[in-house]
Formats: sequence, structure tokens, C-alpha cells
Amino acid sequence: MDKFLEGKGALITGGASGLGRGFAYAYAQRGANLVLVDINEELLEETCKKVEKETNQNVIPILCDVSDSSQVQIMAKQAFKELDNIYILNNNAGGGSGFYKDPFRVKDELFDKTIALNLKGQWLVAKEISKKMKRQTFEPLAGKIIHTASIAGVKVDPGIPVYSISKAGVIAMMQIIAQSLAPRITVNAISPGYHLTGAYRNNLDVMKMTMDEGNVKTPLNRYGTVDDVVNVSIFLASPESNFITGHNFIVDGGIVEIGVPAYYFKSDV
Amino acid sequence: MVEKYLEGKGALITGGASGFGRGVAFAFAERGAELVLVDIKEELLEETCNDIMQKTGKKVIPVVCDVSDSKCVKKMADQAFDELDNIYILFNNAGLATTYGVDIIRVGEKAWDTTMNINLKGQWLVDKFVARKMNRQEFKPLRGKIIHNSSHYGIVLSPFVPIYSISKAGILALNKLVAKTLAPYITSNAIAPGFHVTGIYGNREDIMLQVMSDGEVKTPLNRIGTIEDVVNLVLFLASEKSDFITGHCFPIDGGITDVGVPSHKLDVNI
Repeated sequence: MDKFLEGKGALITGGASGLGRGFAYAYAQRGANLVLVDINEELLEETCKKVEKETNQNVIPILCDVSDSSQVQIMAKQAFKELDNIYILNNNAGGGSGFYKDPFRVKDELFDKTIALNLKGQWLVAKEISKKMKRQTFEPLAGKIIHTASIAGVKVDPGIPVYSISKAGVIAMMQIIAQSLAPRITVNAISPGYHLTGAYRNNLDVMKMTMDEGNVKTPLNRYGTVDDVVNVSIFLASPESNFITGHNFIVDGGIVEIGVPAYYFKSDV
Repeated sequence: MVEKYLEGKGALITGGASGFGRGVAFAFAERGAELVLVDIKEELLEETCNDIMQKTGKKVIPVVCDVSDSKCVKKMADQAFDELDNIYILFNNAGLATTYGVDIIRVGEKAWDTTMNINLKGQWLVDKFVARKMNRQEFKPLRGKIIHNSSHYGIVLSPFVPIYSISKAGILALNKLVAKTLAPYITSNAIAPGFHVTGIYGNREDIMLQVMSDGEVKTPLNRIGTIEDVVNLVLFLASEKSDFITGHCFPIDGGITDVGVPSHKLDVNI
């Protein structure tokens, strides 16, 4: 395996499970030392220990609610104290907010919470981490940022209205940050489709039901895995993608661009 | 030492004699692939094939072919699959640019026909004849992967190269249709290079820089592209790491298309 992250650090928010955990393993296997950030203390400790054991890399857990700016500032300070070479940031922490047939039934508090975690959280983390990343002397790039967006941000999924809005926001944010941090830091996004993670309680039947409910049609005719998304992040973390910035990589088996994304309305024509 | 993930697989590259095609050919061979290189320039093609065979020890078969000629393309595909029965990657890359600086209203019919026939019809013909045979292969989980070379001009449409832009925009549409039709066994994606010094600029950096300046292009990553930049992206698209992606277009242009200032020609004050 090409250890292209040897001598480099990577920080992953939402690193305790799902996609974040997948990124963690992949980067550690390629030589990176890691800072994993999450709100779930137990799961975070468990994942850090497992990754350390299996890859022999340094894996530092930092507990943090990314929607809280003072917590994010403390997290960033601690992260760069522990690892002074954070080259990759996976801005990945995020969550769903339930399924709604009527978008206006979403309560105020849930709207705020979803935007705070998914959208503002990525903003705060990018802000604090890029400040320090900018000063690094890696060449040709000082660092690379990868935002986890979603196909729901590309083609809205009306069943998850606020999630969709927050993820559309992430894509816009990614492009603003890309312009701002060029040319020394590249910034891109990955938009996963349907992949079996805690978002579906790690239960394939739940994910299947969700997709059936939305009448989804997947051109590549299979369910997504964590590996599908991790594989794209490996490319984005590698020097092979150094000339790409501001782009949203859609990894969904073709659903949103050439398939049928989720819809719920009835019509005769 | 690179991972030979194309060992046991063949790759067919149109426009393989020079530029991106040649770069990709070397990279594929280094990763274990046997190659069919297709080009209209016989001498250059022979030279490139011999070069690659010598340096990598891999089988490289040259096939001279004008991709805008359906009889030629059919013959080429037949020959390709006779020589290599395992063509897993198609890099649909052949293309040319004609009249620079002549706008869409003034450009001539001949330029339209030539550019569209080679750039757009040519990629369709190659898809048609190669995909049929690719579909009969028994690789798993995918039978093959197609990569179309479009261009950032196909997304942003420059008034300096109007027909080229339209042909490259057409390739994006072709890519989506091919992806829809060949799913789930074959994936199809497109790349959209920006400014890289190749034969399309007469292999002259100064000419390319002039073109970028004419169009007042602004590149966020503040450097010009290299052939290697494009080769690196194509390698990703040829690897299993991109197996769950289809119907997508990947700009490879230092950020011009997504977050920069593309080529434009506007004589305005507001």
C-alpha cells in the first residue's frame, strides 16, 4: 500500500463511526496520524483504540460538539498541539433530522439544530482548522479539505427537507472556502447517496425501505457501502487530486445524475 | 513501485499517439494493462507504441483509424477485440480544435462538420462499437469502464472556440446517455481538462498562455495544468475506487469551472 500520508496528520469530525471511521482506517493504513473528533465519547474511545491497534498509528480522540464555536476553538487548539502537521481535514460530522411528509411540520428547534450541526458546524471547523493549516509549510499544497455533503444537497429530498437544505448549503460553503483558500489549500466535497451506516441504524432493511418509500432508482443497481465513499476520499487526500478544487464528487451509483432521486408526490402525468 | 491493478486487463485509447492519450497509455501499461492505441497519425502512433513497449514490456497494438468514419471504427473495434479479448477500459479521447477566434455566427460550415464529426460523432461511434463487445465480457463486478474526454470548454462554452465548445458539451450529454444505457455493468464518466500544454496548442506554452489571456481566464490554483494532472484523474477513474460513480463529469482545471473565471469575451462596462 502506498503510504502517501506518512509524516502527515488528518483530522476527521464525526470520526467515531460510519463514514468518518472509514476515513480514519483508510488514512491510518496509509501512514497518517489522526485526530478523531466526535460527540459520542464511548464510541470515540472505542474507535480510536481499535484504529491505533490495527494500524500502529497515533490516534487522538477529542470530544466536541461542532455546532458550538467555543468547543470548536478549543478542539482546534488541542488538535494542532498534539499533531503539528494536519494536512487533511474531513469535515464530516453531521446528522439527519427525521422523515417528514410535510416540510412545514418541522419544529423550529429541529430546524435550528439541523442547520447548526450540519451547516454551521462545518463552517466553524473549516474556519478554525484552516487558520492553522494555512501556516503549514508542506509543498505544493499546505493542506486539503474534504466536506461530506449529500445527494440530498444536489437534488433535494423532500422527505428530509432540512437535511437537504443544510447539505445544499454545505456544497455552496465548500465552493466559497475553495475560492478563499486557493491556491495553497484545495477544498472539495463528496456527496454520498445511500450507504449503510448508523444513519439507517446499520440495518439494510431500514435503508431499503427508505429508498423504496422514495421510489429511488439506482442505475448501478446495488446498495452503497462505506467503502464506496472512503475510496473517493482516498483519492481526494492523495497528491493525484492536487489540481482539483471547488468540486462536488457525487458517489451514489448514478442516482442523482442519471437515475431517479427520491420523490413522494402523486401525479397522473 | 506502482500497484499493478490493471494486470490481466486491456485498455483501448483513441488519440493515443500523443498528449493525454499517450500519457494515459504509459500510466496504464505501468499498471499492468495491455493496450490498443488508436490514432490517425501513423508515424507518431508507431513511435509511441514502440516507446511504451520498450519501457514497460507490455503489449501495445497500434491501429490507425479516423474515428469520424464508421466503417473504420467498426474495423478498429473488431481488430482490437481480436488482439485483446479483455478490453476493460476505454479512454475515448481523440479530438481536435479548429478555427480559433472565429465566433459562432461567423464560423464556416466545413469547420462545423469536421469538428463535430471527429469530436462528437467520433466518440459516439467508438462507444457504439467498443461497448457492444465490452458488454460481452465477464469481468466482475463491472464488465468495463468508459472515460470520455470532454473539456472545461464543454461546460463554460467559450466564444473563442464555439464549435469545439459545442462538440465538447455534446460529449457530456453523450456520457450521460451512455451511462444510463450501459448501467449497471459498465460505468461511463467524463473528464473536463482545463489548460494543459498539448498538441491542441501546438505543444507551445506561450500560445496557451496567450489563449488564457485572451479569455481573461482566472485559475484559482494559480498554475497551468500538466498532462500528469489529467493522467492522475484518469487513473482514478480506471481503478475500482471509482466503481460506484457513473454519469459524472470531473473538471480537472485548477478550479476554473467550479470556482474560477472561465474564458469569456465581453466588451462591457457593467
